[in-house]
Amino acid sequence: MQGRTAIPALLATLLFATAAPAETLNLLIWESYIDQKILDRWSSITGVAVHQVYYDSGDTRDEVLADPNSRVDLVVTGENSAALFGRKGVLEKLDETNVASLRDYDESWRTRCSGRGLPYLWGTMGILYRSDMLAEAPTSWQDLMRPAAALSKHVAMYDDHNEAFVAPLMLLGQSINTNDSSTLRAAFTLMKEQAPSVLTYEYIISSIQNPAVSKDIYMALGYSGDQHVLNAKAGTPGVWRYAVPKEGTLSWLDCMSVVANSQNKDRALALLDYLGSPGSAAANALALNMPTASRAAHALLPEEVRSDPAIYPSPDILAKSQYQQELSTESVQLRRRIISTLANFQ
Amino acid sequence: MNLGKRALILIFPVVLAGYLLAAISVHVTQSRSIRALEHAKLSQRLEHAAAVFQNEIGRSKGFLNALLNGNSLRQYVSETDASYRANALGVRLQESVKSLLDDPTGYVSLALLSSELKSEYYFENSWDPFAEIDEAQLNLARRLIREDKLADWTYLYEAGQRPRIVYSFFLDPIAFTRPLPSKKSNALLVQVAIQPDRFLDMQQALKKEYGSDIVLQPWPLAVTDDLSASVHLGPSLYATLTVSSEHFDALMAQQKFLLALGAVAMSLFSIWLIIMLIRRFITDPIATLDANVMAVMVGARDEIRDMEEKGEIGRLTENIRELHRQSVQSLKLVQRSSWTDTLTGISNRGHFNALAAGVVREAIAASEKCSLLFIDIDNFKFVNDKHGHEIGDELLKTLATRIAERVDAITERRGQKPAILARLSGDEFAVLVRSRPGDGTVREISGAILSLFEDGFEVADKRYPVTASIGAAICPDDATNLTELIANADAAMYQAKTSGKNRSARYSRALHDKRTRLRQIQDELRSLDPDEQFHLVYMPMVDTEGRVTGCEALLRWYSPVLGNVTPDEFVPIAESSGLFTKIDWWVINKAMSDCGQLKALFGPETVLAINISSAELHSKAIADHFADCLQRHGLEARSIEIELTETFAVKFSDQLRRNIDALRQNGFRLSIDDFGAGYTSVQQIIEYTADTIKLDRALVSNLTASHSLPVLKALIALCHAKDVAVVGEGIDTPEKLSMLTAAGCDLFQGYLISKPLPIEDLAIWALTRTARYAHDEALDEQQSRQAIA
Repeated sequence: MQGRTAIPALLATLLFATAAPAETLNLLIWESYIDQKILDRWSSITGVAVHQVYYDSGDTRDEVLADPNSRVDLVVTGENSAALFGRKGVLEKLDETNVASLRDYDESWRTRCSGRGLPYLWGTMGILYRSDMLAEAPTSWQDLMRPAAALSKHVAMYDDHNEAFVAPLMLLGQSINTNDSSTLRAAFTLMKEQAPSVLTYEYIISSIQNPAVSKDIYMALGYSGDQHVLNAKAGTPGVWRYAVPKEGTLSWLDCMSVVANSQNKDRALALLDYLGSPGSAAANALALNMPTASRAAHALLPEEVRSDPAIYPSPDILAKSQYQQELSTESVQLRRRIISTLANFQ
Repeated sequence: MNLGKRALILIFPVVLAGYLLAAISVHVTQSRSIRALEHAKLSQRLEHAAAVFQNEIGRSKGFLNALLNGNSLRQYVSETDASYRANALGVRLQESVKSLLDDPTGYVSLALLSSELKSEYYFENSWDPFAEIDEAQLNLARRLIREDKLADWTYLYEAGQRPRIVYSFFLDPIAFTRPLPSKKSNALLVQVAIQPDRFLDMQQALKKEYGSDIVLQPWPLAVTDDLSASVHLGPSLYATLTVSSEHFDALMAQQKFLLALGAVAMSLFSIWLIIMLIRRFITDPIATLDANVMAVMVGARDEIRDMEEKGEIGRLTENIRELHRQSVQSLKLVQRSSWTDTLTGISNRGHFNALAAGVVREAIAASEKCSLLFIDIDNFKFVNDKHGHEIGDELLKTLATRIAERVDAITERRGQKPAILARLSGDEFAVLVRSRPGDGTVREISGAILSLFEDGFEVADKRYPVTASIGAAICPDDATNLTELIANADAAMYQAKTSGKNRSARYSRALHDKRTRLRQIQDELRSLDPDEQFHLVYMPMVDTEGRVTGCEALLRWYSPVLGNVTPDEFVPIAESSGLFTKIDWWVINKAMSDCGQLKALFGPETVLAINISSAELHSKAIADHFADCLQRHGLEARSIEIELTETFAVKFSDQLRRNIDALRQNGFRLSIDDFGAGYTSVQQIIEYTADTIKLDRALVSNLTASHSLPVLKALIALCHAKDVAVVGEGIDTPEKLSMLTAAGCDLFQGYLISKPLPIEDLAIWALTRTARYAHDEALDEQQSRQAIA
């Protein structure tokens, strides 16, 4: 909760303070979601600094994007947000004319970013767990939603109105994009039952850095790839692991976009093009152990990476996965209120 | 019950009643002000609640203003893309609303309603994410849309609903300001609702405290008697709280309880304090005094200790001390007087016995000796009778003082322990001295005492003819216990007395034997059967013609133990030991029984003379006994002559005179025996009328030896003048007979005629005498005839 109220304040400070004469690009992005070396290289080439501003939930990011006064130049969004903010004109329309490296990306990927973003990285949602605390790896959303008594108060959930619903809705066998109020009510019931076991509703990457709770989290809802960040943050290589439940999951795609009213839109487009280029994209994917959407970059990756199921999910997992789709206004409102209630009244 | 308990029982009800009375007074006077105070408190609390409520209104208004001034609401309202508004801007608005809350779990709701009551936006921060705007709020909105007001706050508090303050504001979505009334139909209605938690808490607290709920109503409180208050919360909204009388009563009951508890607690404390003080200053001193007195009573202490208290207890202590002192003194006085002879101030017999017994025991135990001197004053009775008791008493006192002086001087000089001096009875004194044998102490003391009486005893410059007889006995030579010692000293004293006045005698073997015989005689007399051991002998009396005119009965005693005991020996003993009545009565009866025989021997006119101890005549019973015996034996009184020794006259009393007169009137004859042996005065002979006077044998012998015929003649003539017959006793020679005959004596008695004879022998004597008498008569007749011839 503290992190949550602090972040908008932090953002505001940073955004207004960085209106400095020296050229700087503000990149709104998940923490540890880009290889710093690549940014450094670009800065050394162009002399433009790239300043990362972190968010830890899609809702927080959307809140910033919705503020017309924000100084964000580039942003990593989800498929839905790319569509929403793209349609609204908050995000610059992208094609090969302003971002040449888009040519390396399949049309299917580009469509999911609604033509407003460069398909950045993709992956799944699943259960992150500490292998030293759990005797067996979780196999079902049941393990997260109805945790064993030993895991009570050792679970971290996630207060995002989209992703937080993946677990209960998958468990219920429903579409993760449902707008049905009664289905959401059933999901809410599940989540309420889980609430007493939940230690925090803060995104695991943030909460692992909160000394008050970090040691007590044994299991969390998260994204593929997060286990590497967690192991790095906690200094426990190999301890944190990632599992995709058998019920299926969300298959997500992050898009990197340029904010339409950016003061340095050209520089931002240039950075985006650089990041989307095969070399950068491949390096980034390697550094983060995540799959890239660039054909050219994919080709650059070593074979063992390309065939690693921990990085590239197996086809049967992907077969059971669902993509994010735009939700109805009521559904969004309801989901927000549900997650807000859970986080508030835990 | 001790004083402490008594004090507690007395004080406790009084103190308790006092405190309860005080508590009741306080209760009565205070209950009104307590009520006023309660009312003020209630009003104040309600005012406070109202202030909190106002604050909550302000909060709701503040929320609305914050939203109006921020741009999230403005952005949301002005956005026309519904999807973007819902997804992107809704989350901003939601965060803005939530950021207004201090408590993230607090209730707040924001509703945006079109003029057609279509809900443009609704968010509520509560446990129910599915909550929709409720009917009450919609009704409010409907009413507000109808009315002219552009801003309003309302408190929705219907039962079953969340109580909330709803702040409503009409907003022109284009100008983002308050619309003109004409444009109200296009305006949005913005409603911020908050739950006045603090006010509700307060309401709950008040309900809990007063037992009744705050009543919210559009009018203020009507005046009632109840404890109640009312405050203005807003337009047409008043909060009223009426406290039930039970609550107030409970409050008062609590106060009553506290007062009662206080009263009891204060009582207990006061009583404790009082009891402690009473104990410290009153009961403890009394208890100490009591213990003190008890200690003296059981003898643990001699005197009651002074407690150095002031006031009553000090005085009481002092008085008890004084009382005890006086008692002890009185006791000493009584003890001393019980040991002291009141007249002389020296020890009395009791004290002497006690002291002397101790000395005797000590002496025997220590193989030492002690001597007892028994002192008797001779002729003291004479002095007492002649000079009066005062002189007698004075004499005894003086004597006691002087004996004490002399004895003390001697023992002191000789370095001996002080002698014990005591007055044993009337004129008897005793001195017990711890002497060594043969050192002359006893002799010296005796001499010193006797020397006091040389030429009579001097008292107050006058000399009185008294002397002393002292008997001495030594322990353990003469006796080994005190009683014996006293008895022996007494005996020695008698020895001294009988051997002449003013001398001393030492107890001796002879004396001891004499006393032993005396005691034996006494014992035998006391136990004997007179018929067995006593017998009578008769001594005939003859006239000048030689005819037996009478016989005197004389008592003879033959004891199987003592042999013959002469009357001279046993009669005085019998008289002194009071045994003579028994003897006399036996003699009277026995003699009278023999009387008939005597008459047969000597003729019917024979007189029987019976000796009676004069002491007997003091009793009237003797006269009756005489009469009884007379009757029993068929005798006439004139045949009996009662012989009294002349000594009787000395103790001539009225009773004696009456008894003698009675006997004489009965016809008994009376004779005075042993005339001339004692102190009988001639006067008494003249005064007293006897039938016969018997001249004592000593007198007869004296007068015969000195040839005092004229004296004898005169004496007999004197008797004859009084018409009294004269008997000469002790006629044992013819000279005595011829002389008495010549002097005119009437009758003769003595060994010349006959010794006393048992009646059987007397009969023989009578026969021989008759024969001789006849011979003599014949001889005489012959001589007479020869003379005539």
